[in-house]
Amino acid sequence: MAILSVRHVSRAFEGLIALNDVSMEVEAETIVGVIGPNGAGKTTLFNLLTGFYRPTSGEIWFEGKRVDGLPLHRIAAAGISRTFQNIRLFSNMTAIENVLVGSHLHLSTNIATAILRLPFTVKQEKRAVQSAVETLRFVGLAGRENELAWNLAYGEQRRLEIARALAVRPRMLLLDEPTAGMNPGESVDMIRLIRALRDDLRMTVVLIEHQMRVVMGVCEYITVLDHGEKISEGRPEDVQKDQRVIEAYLGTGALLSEGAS
Amino acid sequence: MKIGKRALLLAAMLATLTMVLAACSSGTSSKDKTATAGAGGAKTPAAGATTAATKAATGAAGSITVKKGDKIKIGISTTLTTDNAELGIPIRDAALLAIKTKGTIKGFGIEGDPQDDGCAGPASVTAANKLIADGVVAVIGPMCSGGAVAALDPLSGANMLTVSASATNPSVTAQGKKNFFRTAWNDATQGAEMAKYAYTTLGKKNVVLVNDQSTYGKGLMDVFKASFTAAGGKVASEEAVTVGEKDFGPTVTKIKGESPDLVVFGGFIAEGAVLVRQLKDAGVTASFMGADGIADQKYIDQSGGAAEGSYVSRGPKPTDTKLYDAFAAAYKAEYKKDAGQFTEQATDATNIVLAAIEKVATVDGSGNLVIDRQKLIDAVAATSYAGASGQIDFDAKGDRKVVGAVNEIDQVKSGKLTRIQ
Amino acid sequence: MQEWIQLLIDGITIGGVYAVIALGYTLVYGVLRMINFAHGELFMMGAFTGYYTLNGFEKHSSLNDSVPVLTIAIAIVLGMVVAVTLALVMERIAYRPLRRAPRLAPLISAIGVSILLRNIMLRATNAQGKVYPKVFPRTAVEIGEIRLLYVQIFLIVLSFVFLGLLYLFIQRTKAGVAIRAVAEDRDTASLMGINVDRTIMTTFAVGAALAGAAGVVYGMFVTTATSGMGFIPGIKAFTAAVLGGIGSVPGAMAGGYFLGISEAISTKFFGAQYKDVVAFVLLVAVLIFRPWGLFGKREDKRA
Repeated sequence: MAILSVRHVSRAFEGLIALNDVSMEVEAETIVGVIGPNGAGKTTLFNLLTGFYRPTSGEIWFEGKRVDGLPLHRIAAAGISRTFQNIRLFSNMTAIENVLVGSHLHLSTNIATAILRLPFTVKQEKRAVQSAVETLRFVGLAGRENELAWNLAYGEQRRLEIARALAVRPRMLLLDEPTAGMNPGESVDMIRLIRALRDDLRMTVVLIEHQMRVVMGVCEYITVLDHGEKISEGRPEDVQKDQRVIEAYLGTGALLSEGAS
Repeated sequence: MKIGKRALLLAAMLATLTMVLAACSSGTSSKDKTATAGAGGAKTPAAGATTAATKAATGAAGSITVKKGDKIKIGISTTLTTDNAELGIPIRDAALLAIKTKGTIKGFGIEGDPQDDGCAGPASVTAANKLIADGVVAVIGPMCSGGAVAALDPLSGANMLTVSASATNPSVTAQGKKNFFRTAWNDATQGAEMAKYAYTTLGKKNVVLVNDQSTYGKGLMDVFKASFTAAGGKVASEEAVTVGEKDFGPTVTKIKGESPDLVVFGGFIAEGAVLVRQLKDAGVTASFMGADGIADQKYIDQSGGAAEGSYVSRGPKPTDTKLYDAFAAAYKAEYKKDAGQFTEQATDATNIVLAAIEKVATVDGSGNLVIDRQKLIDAVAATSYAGASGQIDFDAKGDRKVVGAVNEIDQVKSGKLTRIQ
Repeated sequence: MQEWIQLLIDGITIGGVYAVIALGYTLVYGVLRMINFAHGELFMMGAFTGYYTLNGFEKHSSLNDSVPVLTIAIAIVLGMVVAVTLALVMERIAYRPLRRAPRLAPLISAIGVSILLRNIMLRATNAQGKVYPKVFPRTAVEIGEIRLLYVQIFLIVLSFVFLGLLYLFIQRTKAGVAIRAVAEDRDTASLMGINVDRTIMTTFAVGAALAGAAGVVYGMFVTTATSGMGFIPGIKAFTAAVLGGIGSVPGAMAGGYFLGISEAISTKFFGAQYKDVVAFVLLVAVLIFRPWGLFGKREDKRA
């Protein structure tokens, strides 16, 4: 059964239609790619899924619950987490603090417990810190815990953003261009990490990506958007052959030349 | 965000400038608004500059007409907000009571028009312009000297009879405005008398002066200093407190370091009560002397006992207290509170104004009441009135003529102001 | 020398008050990028609550004499409760509807709330300053010429305690982490499961609780409550917050003490009439060379 179900969702901005009657289903524990030329409506879709925007029409269901229209923090609590195309870390906090903000939902410290340092609190805090350390190790940031976020290297910041998103303990992770700006070596590491998310953590991953090498290499299923409409979906090798997709990408050459970027 | 920071910087610079200006107690500007004229009032066109408003008002305001059925309006310019309202509200109440007691003049009802003058220049000018626009016949006030100096500009431009019960600074009458009178005493006398009492009677030789940076407080301390040093006394330092603050710790520490034998304060109750208490808390043993700005039971109450022994100068009470007692009883009956400082001067000011209106007002053919502004001022100038605050006659400058004792010195004994001279 | 120490103590006394109030400004600025100009009035309301509570005990019982610790504690707690309640109402009615409005709108709204509260209390008290009953003995510790009232020690210590608690709160609690996250990036914070509305309310409440408690203790120290008493400390605390770097918690604390002490020292040099001039010259100087304040962070660092 599908973990995520997008049903006839449209979104207009003062008459400009950014997304038009898009439907899609995402199976649990799959890695799904959303691709399309610039302005196709990919980020708009992410913003709808995470509650930044409300659909003008249509419904979004996650794990059998309707989530469109919910406040952002309720959607996060429901199990959807994301990263951003332009990294948005809490840059004045350390790496581990960023992750701890993510695990905020699962903490219960207040001023009284902070002062009294009850065994329960200490234990809970310890556990939160421990799990944050583990999360950081998982994304490959072991040893960088106490570095201020804005002192981290670009690739590391991307990884930290994923770690923070993981701390919310989501079932579905939305990654907005996870390899943007990365060199080939870094991209390979990122692909490995994305696979691990699904294989080790049994996460459902939806990602927006421009580098076709990444998309074709990691995604099991692809949805193609163009001008706000879904023009194709299916397994990578099928989508690649779809005439409409080729037309949409015509001129960019991106699809066939295996990610010339 | 860059703009935000820049705006903060700009705001800070402006604030600094304001503070510097305030600290130097510069004159007040009088840019203001003028509302449209009220019923029967002189039409004052909205004008950006006071001078323009002034000329227009003079031209149209030789006399004022109260239409049949309308009420005679008496403006009351006093402090109704901020901590100084504890002196200002009783002044308003005393004036309103006098108006209510009078009832009617030649069949016309009378009503008070109180405006908040903020005890300072700009707000007092605004209040004055509002009153001019409201078409009042006369103004009781402004309450504070600083406000009076500034507000007299538009008020005299409108040839508005203005009688203050509490503005005591010499500069107010020194301007020579013919429309202004006061039932309060000029601080030129009060300050000198205080200095004399401190030096000669109390035998104090080394004093610290503290003022509240108001025209009144600063002015009174200047007069005191001149007289005290002329007599041979020494002013160890001159300090200031900021109106509205409640912790004068550093000032008190500085005073303590001077080891004076007397601390003299020019200002009002709120700061006076706090200062005297903090001096005592800090272990300063010097005597404390204040003036009419704190000559009120509230000063003693708010000091939490520290006011005991303070010397307080004020205008002299008449030897025959019959009129004062009658007023105090009526005030208490009306407001369920004791009549405080300046209330007797306020009732006298109002009664003088009302009597003058009665004298000069005439009813014209269509039943309207006509009051000639110049005649009204002349009538007040010629007043000889026995009031709650004693005998009142005005000299050529509009100051109250001193009759008998020049001022009175009280001391706080067992929590009450008790006359000792 | 002793006079200097005394001046330093005077500066620390009022500086602590500025610091505690400044935290309210800086916290709210942090999450909303808005100056809550009615914050000083919460301090004033705290002082009045303290007066009414202690005066009530004085009139109807002998508890002020027998267990002053209890009555003072109750007064402080009530002062906090009243201030917090007011702050939440303020936020809901005067600020939240304007959250998407241009920045100037909530600022004007805040000034309106400030004037409103001041005048409500002016009316309620008929412009009469209220005098605290004598709960704290007005005796002092004396070391040579240096004199410290017990209530002053209480005020100084309590300021430290409040600052410590606040720091702990911000750094170590769930709500504190939420406030920091919202301050940095409101949208991302909510994606991390943080309820932004509730966090903003918490921020107002925490700032108000500090201001309310400070009002009670300051009221006991100066022994009076007047409707205008919140205004100047409010302005000074705002100055302290800007000085330290608005939005920065350690900055507000340091700014408060810095301002208090510099005021005390400039009183000695130039007289109290110029202490505000000195304070603002310092502010301008700091803003010219460090527009982000002493402890604030440059906002353009990532560029």
